[in-house]
Amino acid sequence: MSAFHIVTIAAVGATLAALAVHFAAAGRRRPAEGPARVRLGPWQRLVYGVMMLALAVLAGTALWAAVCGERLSGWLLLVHNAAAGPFALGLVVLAILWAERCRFAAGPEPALFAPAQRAVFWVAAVLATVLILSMMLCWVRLFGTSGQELLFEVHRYAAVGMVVTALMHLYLVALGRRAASLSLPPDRA
Amino acid sequence: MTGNATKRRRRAPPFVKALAILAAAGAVGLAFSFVRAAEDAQPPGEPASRATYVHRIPLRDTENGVIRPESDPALPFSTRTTCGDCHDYDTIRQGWHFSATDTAAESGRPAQPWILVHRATATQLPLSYRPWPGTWRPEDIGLGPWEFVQAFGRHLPGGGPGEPDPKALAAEPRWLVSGRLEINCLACHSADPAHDQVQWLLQLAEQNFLWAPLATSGLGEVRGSARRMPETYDPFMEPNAQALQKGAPTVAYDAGRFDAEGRVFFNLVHKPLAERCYFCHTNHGVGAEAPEKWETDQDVHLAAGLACADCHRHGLDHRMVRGYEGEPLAQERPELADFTCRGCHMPKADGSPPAARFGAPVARHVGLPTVHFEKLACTACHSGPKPRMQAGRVQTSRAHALEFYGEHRGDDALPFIAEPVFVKQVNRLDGREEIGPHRILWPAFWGRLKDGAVQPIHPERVADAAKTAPEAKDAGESGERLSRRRIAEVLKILAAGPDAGEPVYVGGGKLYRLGADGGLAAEDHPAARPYAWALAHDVRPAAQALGSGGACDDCHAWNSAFFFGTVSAEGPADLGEPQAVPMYEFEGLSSLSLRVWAVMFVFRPYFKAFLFAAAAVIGVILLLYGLRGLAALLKWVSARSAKG
Repeated sequence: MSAFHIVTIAAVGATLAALAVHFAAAGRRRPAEGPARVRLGPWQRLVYGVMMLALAVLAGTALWAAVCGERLSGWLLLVHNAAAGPFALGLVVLAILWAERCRFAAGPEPALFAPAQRAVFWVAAVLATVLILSMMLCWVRLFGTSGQELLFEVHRYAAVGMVVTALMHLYLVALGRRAASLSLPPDRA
Repeated sequence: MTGNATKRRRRAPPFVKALAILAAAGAVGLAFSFVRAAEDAQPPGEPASRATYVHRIPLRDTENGVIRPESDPALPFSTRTTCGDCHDYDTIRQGWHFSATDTAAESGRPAQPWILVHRATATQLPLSYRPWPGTWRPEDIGLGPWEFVQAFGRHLPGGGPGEPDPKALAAEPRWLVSGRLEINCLACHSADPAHDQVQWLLQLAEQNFLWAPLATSGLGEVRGSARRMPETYDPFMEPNAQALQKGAPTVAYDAGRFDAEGRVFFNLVHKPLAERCYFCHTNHGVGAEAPEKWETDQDVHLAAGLACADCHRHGLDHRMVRGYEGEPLAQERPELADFTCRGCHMPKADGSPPAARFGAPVARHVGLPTVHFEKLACTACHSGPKPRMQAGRVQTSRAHALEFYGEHRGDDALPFIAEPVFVKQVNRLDGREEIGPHRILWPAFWGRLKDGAVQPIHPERVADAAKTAPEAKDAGESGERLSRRRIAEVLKILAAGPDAGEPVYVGGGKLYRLGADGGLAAEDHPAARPYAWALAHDVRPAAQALGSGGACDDCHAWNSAFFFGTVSAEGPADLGEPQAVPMYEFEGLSSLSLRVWAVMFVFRPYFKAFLFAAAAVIGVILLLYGLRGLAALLKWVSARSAKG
């Protein structure tokens, strides 16, 4: 088992465990009153959903190759590449739509997410840039084999970071929705 | 004073004298033993110096007798005794070129087989003493060492089947007349421009095995033919007048080549010249698309000044480095990894720098995704002729006797070998498969089917049986190639014979048997599968490698020969239009996925632009809000400091 496998298992496992602990400890509590938040519109939900689905495909294909002990190639790489497009597009759209409302300082627009979700958003944006660039630079005639190896390492470790970030974001979104439903009158919950 | 002292010296008692003599003898003995030990530690024939040893040596016959130019009768020199005087012959016999018949020797990756060709019976059968899947052992068709040497000796360096075990020697009395075919050291190590390896073939044709090394060396002339001598002829006895009249082999040494002490100068080199290797290892493309000889270049390593033996090196045991990636694993010799393409040109798996022997340039492979190194052998992009939509035909020294002029030459000479064919084969150091260029032969032979397995029949036996088949030709039959009708007739004759098993003909990738209607019925069978062996040379310059300069569409294109080229299942018989097997089948890849890849590469530039744009947009947002965050932080710090 390579260092990457160990890091991946440890990172994803630790994230899931931390989220489970958090949910057991704090997730069941009724939320305190806070500032009103805007609910996502249907298009944003669609974009978010497609992006998360694309990320799942990207992670799944990469994971399958890792389990088989090979690098992505053939059909798996085709699917991986195909999912990269929607993922990148979704990221761009959401970055444009959410950036202003994910600021930590109070702005003119009401906050879209809780502070933790906003932090996750910015981490995801950084990781996305690294993810895209690390693979794109492999496709241009700039780096030799050692550079390509380094970019590949950066890509896959950034991908693990992105999966962890996405898990946290999904959890926080789900927690937010639950909290919102608990805040609503019983007939609308 | 001295005299007094002498007088005062007491005489030693006798036992002291004896002890002193014993001690002196012991010391001398010990000193000799050290010298001997030092000599023994030096392997015979491997002087430590890199200086060229001048081989001015006496010639010796097979009985180790020194040969003089005036010797009568003059016997041919023996390499076993002449060279073996300093270089241990039995150690050398372990070498790759001589150990095929040694069942204990490591076979390694399948290589070019010996191909038995018989045009009249449309036979091209791959044979090997090494257990390579897809080849047949010579004994399978009744070829003993004697017959094998007769068939393929022209490109054997001697040894191996040329020096069979006593049982095989006893089985064929002609060995006593021809002598054994010793390893011809000169075939590789001679640097004499007068060395004539073609003489080897001519002497073998006359069954003059014992005389063949001398004939190639030019140290003397060999006349006569052991073939014409009866089995009772003793080549070590002076031939009588009757034997001479029959044409018994005789030797006439060139007296001018001997010095005053009866020694002969051999112009030898430790590292064989490439021209010597080429005698058995030349490949020559034929067909309309094949370039003329003057249009081809030699291997880039040779052009850079290296010799074949710079990489294909060995010690006295002549266990030559073959240089393929999986060799260190197959031979359990990890040190061989340095002599592969990767060993010299690429950093090792642990990141340590490459061996870079001879100052080999380290490959950068700018812009090439590293997955290619897992899927492809280095040779896939760098070696052999560039792929064509239909794999070309190639002739090789060992299969087509390129070194000899004669009627056997011509573009349609058998056997039909195709190249380059990209085949997935176990090759890597870690035992995995990878795709590399190969030469391929579709076996064609007659056999008998028993319990689902085919046992080949010697083509001469088939030819004898076929003599009784009707000669009449159908309209359109040229008679030059065996027709389906003729094959069916011969199968009927073989079926009527006493031998067990259903007669079949294998060719063009199919097994043919007699159908219910009396015609031929074709089916797939493992025995009909092609035999492929990897090719590694000529290595092209890096700029001529596939994909060089970012040309991804050398392979990733709708019409790429690398994936979608075809290999014609050509055989010597006229079995109709040969099937065209697409390259991706040999590569173990899916046509659909390759087609989708090809389409994706059409849009790849746009995809790259889109992803760069996406990264740029997100990057700009990060920069913008990062700066705004920084501004807010500075404002907060400033406010705090104003309050403080």
